Amino acid sequence: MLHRLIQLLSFEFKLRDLGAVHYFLGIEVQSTGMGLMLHQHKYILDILTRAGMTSCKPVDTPVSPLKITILPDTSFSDPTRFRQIVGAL
Amino acid sequence: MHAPTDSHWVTVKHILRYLKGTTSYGFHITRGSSFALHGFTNADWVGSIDDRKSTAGYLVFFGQTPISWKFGKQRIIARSSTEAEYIALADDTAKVIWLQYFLIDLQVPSISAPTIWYDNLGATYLSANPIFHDCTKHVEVDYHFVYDWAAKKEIQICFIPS
Repeated sequence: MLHRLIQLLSFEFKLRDLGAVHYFLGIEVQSTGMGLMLHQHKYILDILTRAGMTSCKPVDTPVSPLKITILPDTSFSDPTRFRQIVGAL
Repeated sequence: MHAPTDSHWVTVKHILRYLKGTTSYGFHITRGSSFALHGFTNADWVGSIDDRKSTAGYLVFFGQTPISWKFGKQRIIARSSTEAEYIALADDTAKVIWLQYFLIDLQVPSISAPTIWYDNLGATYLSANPIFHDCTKHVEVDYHFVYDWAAKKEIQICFIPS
């Protein structure tokens, strides 16, 4: 059925069959016996490398809402770096 | 993003540290026999110290695979934890109903009505029982919305301990 679909699509569009997917848009795809495992191991390591945090200590929760506030605070010295890292998330 | 502060950066670093601990996490898309939708919803209450809005979210599974999720600050301020949970329940209901009709459009043989799992007994009772509580209008709308779908048996609301 899949081959038939690819064949039908190729009549309408120019396409190249690259085979089974392994890495697409930062997402790794691994075939397991039961199905597919999608994860971002490589992408996360890339971000940590960019941020210089490859050897940081892991935490269990992503954020504590109690600590986020709009109260006045000193500006971060490197806004470009901030935006690059946040943009990658 | 236009004016990042030191505390913003601390928050970003915290997120990165979380990612560091979750590099092996992922989604397992499995070949399953179940075509049922299961939604899981939760909310805190008045979590934001700036405007006292609550944070809530949902995660929807299709069979055993997570397919849809959203977490964030609620649009309005909830005056009780049940109110916050109920707003979240209404958001989850809207999503699950949308997904259910989408599956029907795709002619997926969806066997049963979707189930929404919930850890707030007050909200679960509210969805099953048309006793009118002293709600303000914003929650009343969510209340009727969820109750209506549950009464039509298009969705099922179940309690799950947190």
